[in-house]
Amino acid sequence: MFQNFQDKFYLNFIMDDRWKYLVNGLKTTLTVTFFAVIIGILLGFLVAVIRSTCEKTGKMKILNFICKVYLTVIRGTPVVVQLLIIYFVVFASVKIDKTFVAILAFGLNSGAYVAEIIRGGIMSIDNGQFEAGRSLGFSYPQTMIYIILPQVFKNVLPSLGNEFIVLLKETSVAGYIALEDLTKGGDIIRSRTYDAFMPLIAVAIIYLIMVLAFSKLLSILERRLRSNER
Amino acid sequence: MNDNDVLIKIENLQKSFGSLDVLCGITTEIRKGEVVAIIGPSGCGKSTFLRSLNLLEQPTGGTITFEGVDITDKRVNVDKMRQKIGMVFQQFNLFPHMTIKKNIMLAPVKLKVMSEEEASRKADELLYRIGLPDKADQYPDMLSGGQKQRVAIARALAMNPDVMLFDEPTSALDPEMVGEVLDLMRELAQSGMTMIVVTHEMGFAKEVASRVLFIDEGNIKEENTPAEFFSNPSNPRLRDFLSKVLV
Amino acid sequence: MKKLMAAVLAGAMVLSFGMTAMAEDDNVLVMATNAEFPPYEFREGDEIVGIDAEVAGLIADKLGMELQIDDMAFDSVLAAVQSGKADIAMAGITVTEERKMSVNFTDTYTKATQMIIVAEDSEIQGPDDLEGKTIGVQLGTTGDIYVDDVPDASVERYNKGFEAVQALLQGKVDAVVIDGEPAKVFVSQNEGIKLLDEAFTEEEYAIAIAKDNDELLEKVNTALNELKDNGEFQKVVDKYISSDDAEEAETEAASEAETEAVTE
Repeated sequence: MFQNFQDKFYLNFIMDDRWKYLVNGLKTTLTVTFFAVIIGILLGFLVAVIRSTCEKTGKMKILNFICKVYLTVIRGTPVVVQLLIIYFVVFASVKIDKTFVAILAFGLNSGAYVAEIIRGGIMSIDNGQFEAGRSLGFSYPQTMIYIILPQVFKNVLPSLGNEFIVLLKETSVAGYIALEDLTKGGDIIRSRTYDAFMPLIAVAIIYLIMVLAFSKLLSILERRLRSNER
Repeated sequence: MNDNDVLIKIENLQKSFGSLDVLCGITTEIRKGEVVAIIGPSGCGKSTFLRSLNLLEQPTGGTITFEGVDITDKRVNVDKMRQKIGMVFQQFNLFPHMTIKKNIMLAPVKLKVMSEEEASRKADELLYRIGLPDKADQYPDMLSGGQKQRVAIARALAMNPDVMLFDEPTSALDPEMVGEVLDLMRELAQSGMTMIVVTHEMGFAKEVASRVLFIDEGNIKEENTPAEFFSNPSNPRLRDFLSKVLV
Repeated sequence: MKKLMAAVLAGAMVLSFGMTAMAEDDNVLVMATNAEFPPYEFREGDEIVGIDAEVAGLIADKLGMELQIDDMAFDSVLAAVQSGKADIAMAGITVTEERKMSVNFTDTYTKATQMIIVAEDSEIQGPDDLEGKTIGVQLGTTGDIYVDDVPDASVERYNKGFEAVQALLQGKVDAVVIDGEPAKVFVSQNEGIKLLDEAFTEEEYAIAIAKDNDELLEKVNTALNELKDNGEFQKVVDKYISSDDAEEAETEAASEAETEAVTE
């Protein structure tokens, strides 16, 4: 039994340096997730601010309409289809870096969910906070930046963290455009060794460790932000 | 009366929400150093009137001239104008994510009215004045209602405004905390600050105000010195109102 | 249970020992294979099945012998024949000059080619030109494994063969290396791409037999050719690899590649 385990371990990870598929895949997964998160946050904040500004002041109607279309399309279609569309349709006939395509696709996707999370956060802030800001002489954007968004960020941090955990796991479909992420790395090993157990379990464990580490990080950040208040 | 003394001139001010007319052509003047108390039954439009003065409510008609500038003109920089008009809300509206001192310093620093050090000194001064120097580094949630409202007043004062608007500043407070806030407002009035106060505190209006307005059905129904206002009300609705509030 | 296993093991050892000792008159044909190579040989339940397994059965019938299949690691298969532990080895074994030095091969019975598809105006003329290029393959296929050896090439492993071809059509990859049969279909159905005449790899599978056993070699060859001539061989192949209908090309390419996998 143990001998068998050792053999399989050797076959799947040591032989032909197969562990490199996982390490390189992990690097790709982390790169894609990291930059997609950044795009997602920037885009999400932007869309959320436009949406809630329109809701609160009635301004920016056209931008708001564009945002609504974006949200509807992104949230109404599977991310893997979006990824394939960006790769095979939007960038048809272009030789393009696949990591970039994946970052773009997952960033655009995440942005929609982040936008709704943040919009919910903005709408949940008492209107008195806006009025207090405006009455002191802050413009609308200044009020947003100095007074509203810091509070929103703290309130939505758990939901945002959850969204990023989902995003990290969703990047596992990047293999559809032949990008060698962590999941694809495991697939390549499987295609070489015909062993399902070892590569899949290894991939699962790596994802799990990343998610646990990220959750831990988040709860530390959350606690630090909360301790400021009470 | 010298025209130069007029700080805010309100002419035929109107405000409607859809088909509901809340303000029906209010005309009055606020002079420098005046303490104007506004009273009236709930829903009479007194809060809307106050909030129109710094354009938190956009008037639908009439003009408001603040320090010689018609601020209902679209070309006027509303944000610059508001820096000169302090406002205190019923619900305090302190920024919960900042310490008390940061609450006070935020506007002067970010709006580049003062340097960081100046604002810090100013905040310390104000905290001393409102009697809460030891609360500088605490967060709003740790304070009582009365303390919060005093901080809110200090926050508005930090911008060195020319006028202070108070929107029912004691209505959300427990009875035992009303006094400390009114004391601070009284002291502020004595220092010469121009104040417009929407209030239910008849005692405060009587004692501190230089003029009292009675607003009902979107208009000023009576306007007088406190002594006359309370001892000799001429408007029947005011008489009715006073008989209910002054038990 | 343990006892039974031990008995079987002991039996197998005695049997194989006996085989070496009296190969002449024994009526069992022992075939060494590695049953992890569908569709040529793989396990289905307790049985070892596949093209090689069935063809070996037919050959054994022709020789009037009983077939016994020994499953072992691939790198032990040829050694088993050499040492006489097995009579024949059938495991999708590619004929190479190197291997010819240690064993004899029968006539080949299967040809597997990996073809190169490129854009019509491509500068790539043959396998050597792939160096440093971006090559699209289908994950897990022979082509996927082999392009690893192309110097400086970057390999893009798509989940489906047609996606690799699509990437080629869009200029995202410089070439696609894929099994011969689906490659022909892809090229016939798409404009602007062509199949290179020179295959990327061409392999022929044959049965390995010990160097000194010319008699068996001859017998097996005769039997093999008879099976090829009377169509029985093709029947077995058809059973495991469905025919290449044009309409089915895409799913075909996918499923075939999935099952075909590594050439060892």
